[in-house]
Amino acid sequence: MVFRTSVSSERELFERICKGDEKALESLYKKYYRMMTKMVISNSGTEEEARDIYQDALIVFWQKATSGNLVLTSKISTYIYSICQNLWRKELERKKRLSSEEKDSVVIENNDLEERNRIIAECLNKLDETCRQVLMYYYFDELSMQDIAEKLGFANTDTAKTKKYKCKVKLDELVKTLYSERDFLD
Amino acid sequence: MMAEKDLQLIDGYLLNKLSRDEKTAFEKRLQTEPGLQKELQFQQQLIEGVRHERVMQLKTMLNNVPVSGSGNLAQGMTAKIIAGLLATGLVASGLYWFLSRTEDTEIPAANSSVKNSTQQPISSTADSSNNTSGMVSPTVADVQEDIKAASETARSTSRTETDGKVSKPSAIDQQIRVKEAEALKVVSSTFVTSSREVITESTTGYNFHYSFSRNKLILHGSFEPNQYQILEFITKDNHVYILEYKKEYYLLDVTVSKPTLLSPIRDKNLNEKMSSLRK
Repeated sequence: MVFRTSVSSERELFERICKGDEKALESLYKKYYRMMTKMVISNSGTEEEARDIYQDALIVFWQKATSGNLVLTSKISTYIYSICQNLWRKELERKKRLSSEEKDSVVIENNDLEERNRIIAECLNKLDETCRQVLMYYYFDELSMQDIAEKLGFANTDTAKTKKYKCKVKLDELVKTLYSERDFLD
Repeated sequence: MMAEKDLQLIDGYLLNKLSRDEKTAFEKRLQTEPGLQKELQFQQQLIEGVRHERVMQLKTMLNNVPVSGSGNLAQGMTAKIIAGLLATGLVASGLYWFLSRTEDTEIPAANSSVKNSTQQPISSTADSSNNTSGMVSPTVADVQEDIKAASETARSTSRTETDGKVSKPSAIDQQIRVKEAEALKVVSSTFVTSSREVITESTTGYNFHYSFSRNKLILHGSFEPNQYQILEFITKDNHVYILEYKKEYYLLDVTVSKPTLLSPIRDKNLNEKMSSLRK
């Protein structure tokens, strides 16, 4: 009986996450916080690194679930735990690499990427809240137009599609203008 | 500007939503149309930027979720200790109140000599009831002494700090003034809510401090969620970061890696500029 309840609540949580329910993500975050961060901390990570890795893992899980690219064959915790392990292993390798001579080139590359992301963030900020969310739900969460329409209160999927298109065109224009102003075009 | 149909094709290609045939045809076009290739590259950067922002948004959301990790265990412990101290204080106050009431009720009935005689056995521990009073009274007195001493210390500390600030404008003050003046030159109406991740850390023992670590801003202490925002001002050769917290502005230094006290911007012009920008 207890097992059944736990399976069904896990299933329910997963379904809510697939629909892009952020409250469900928050519940999940709280539920496994200790378990996941403990793994990193006991493997020579700091509390901050542990939280960082856990959040990254959870966001990977979230993106896969919302985009419909995840068929869960194990418990949610098992899945997230394995992502945490992989991410932490990669982070340890990255740290090791950074202590060698590659450091400088990596920094230059990151600066470029950071600058680009900063410009895009600036332009996203100039859009209204609905536009920002439509674009994020579409390009990151990869939610269906139906789910986007429901989340943002659009009349139907066509309205959501039109909105997404208009917002995207606006963002294109803004970013292109800033790119040329800051000599950032290739 | 690219045709709507081509933009949709690029979108579909980047999100892996094209059929195999559509994908092959699109890749063929890419080889012969440099304009399309350039647009694809641009759209890819754009999508990456949007995704990056969403990740930051989700992380900020998660950072505001109270969790029961070790950090919070420490908070729990602190809460328990405070609760314990409060309880002890409450018991002490209760006893003090009870004893004062007993004394008060006794005083009118007794003359001064009687009062003295009742106080005598307290120190000489003559009988059991007085003995109890004897144990409690010094404790209450001690507590009062402690409070008095603590408030004196607090007063003298604050006095010293104030004196220090007023009488000695240090080299650090000068540096702050220079930095704020430089920031004023950069601050314009073009600002962006920074994409830097912000973490609030309430377990480091610092209050109202900040530091930067691995490209993230860490706010040390108890900050009310959704009350802070990092504003970033960008020019070709300079970046200025300003923290807005409860309508106050704090100039941040990205090179700061150790927890540093947040102090509000003092430059009047910079403060006015910020207030007018954020209206």
